[in-house]
Amino acid sequence: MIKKIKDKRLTLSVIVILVLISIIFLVIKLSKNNKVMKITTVKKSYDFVSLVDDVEELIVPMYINIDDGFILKKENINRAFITDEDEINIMKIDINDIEKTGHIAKIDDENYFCYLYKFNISQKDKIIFKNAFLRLDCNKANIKINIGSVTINKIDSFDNSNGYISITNLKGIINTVKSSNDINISKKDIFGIVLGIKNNSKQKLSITKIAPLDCNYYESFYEGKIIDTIPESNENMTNILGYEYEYFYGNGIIDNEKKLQIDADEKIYFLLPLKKISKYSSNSFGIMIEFIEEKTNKKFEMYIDDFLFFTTRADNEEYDILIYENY
Amino acid sequence: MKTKTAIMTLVILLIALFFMFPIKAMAYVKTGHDDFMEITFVNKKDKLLINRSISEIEEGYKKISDKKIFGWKTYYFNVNSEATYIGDILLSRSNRTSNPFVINYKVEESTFKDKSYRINGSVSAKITFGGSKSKIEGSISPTFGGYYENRNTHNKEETTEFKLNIMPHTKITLRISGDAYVTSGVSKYYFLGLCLRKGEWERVDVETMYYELVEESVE
Repeated sequence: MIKKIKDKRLTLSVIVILVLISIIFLVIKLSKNNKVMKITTVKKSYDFVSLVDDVEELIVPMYINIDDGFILKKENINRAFITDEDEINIMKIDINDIEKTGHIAKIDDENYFCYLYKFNISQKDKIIFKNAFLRLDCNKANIKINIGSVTINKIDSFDNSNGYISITNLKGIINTVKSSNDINISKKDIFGIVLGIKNNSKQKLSITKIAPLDCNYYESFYEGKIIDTIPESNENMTNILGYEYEYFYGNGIIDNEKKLQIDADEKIYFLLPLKKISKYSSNSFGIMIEFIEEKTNKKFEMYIDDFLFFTTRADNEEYDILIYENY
Repeated sequence: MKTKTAIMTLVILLIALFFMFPIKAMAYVKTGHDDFMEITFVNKKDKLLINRSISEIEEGYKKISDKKIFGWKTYYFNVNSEATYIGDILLSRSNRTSNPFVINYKVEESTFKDKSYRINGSVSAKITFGGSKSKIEGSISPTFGGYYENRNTHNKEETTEFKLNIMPHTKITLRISGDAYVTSGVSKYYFLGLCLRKGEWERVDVETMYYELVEESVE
């Protein structure tokens, strides 16, 4: 009799424990399902210049408020694209890797973990996305986030003159941009480029165009000038130019008559002020130089690969945060 | 004889110790920070720790007048003083041939130090700067940590790969300069009102890095 009672008590205890474990498990699972995933990135200009068959790597830093989730595993991403907002222009890209950097950013009093999303771009033709979105098609959800702008320049050769000119110096003039809507927001951007250009040929050459390979700038070669000495990278652009420098130009004016003549074996320093169309920061881009051999009037093109002009930790960024519930 | 043997044994032991613990000759850097060749303050009155005289350092200690029961007390020479710097040469390649050649170079910002510390004395317990993930040894006044936290900064990863065309008989150099903030001071650690440890320290926070490519002729 006593043994029967003891057996019953034991069975009851086991059942109660099992029920409690099930309840705890359900609570954990439900609470996980109620988590909210927030994703953001710093919008910037992504620029590439490469030969037609070269594959470029696009690295997009994403800030995510969780350190686990479907979006953090490469195998959960079925397809990836760069598109414009209406998805009229679409460029397929291949996910290569997702790397956790260990950096943590505080945005709106919440911690966000930084992950680098790495993609391969096999695009063969030139394509521009002035307002670019990264679209990730996953099993659980599709993510579409504005990353800034993307400019892909595809070329046959970096120099079809075989060394008529060479770049002896290259640096950026970087100043701080003050936002007009909010005086507390300021960021650094590249206001101009300084190039040292040497004519290695035995002929007089005329440079007819120097342009950054970035869709966020107007043509501004006509406003450039030869300088005697190379200024410091953080020198005030207005002081260097000698007149008030306008960061956002408005309407670009192209002066077809502008030519920069360089004698044989001569070297010059040239300051190219940059005229901005959009607000996306550019810190790395390629440059195209077009020039003519005076004697034969033959035209040549030389390209400088995407050069990193500066990096900074000082920016006060505006973040657009995407929110996904029950991920 | 016994004395001679003892002396010989001692000499051999000393030589053995010398080779076990080789003396490292540290290259002298005029800023006191290995990654910065030059640091120039915007305000000419500011100085690096390495340029401060012993009397200036002692004057700083004297200014820590009030004692504490437990913990650190600090006198600051500079707090986030603006400066510019000339940093490392990232790349230097020469072409002594008669033909141009192309190299691929990858620049990754995350591989560079964005803070540099210099510490003298026994300030080697934990130093925590508020708002910063970097921790070195030594704890300092929370008011400083509060000041530092007000500056909005975040880390960004930057990677770029580019082709460089090196012309015959030339050398290409890629170098860094930039903007930084320098904070330095002297600190004392108290235990039951007695100063147990003290030392000088300096921290350089890199805010912006500028990259510059230069080509020079070589014979």
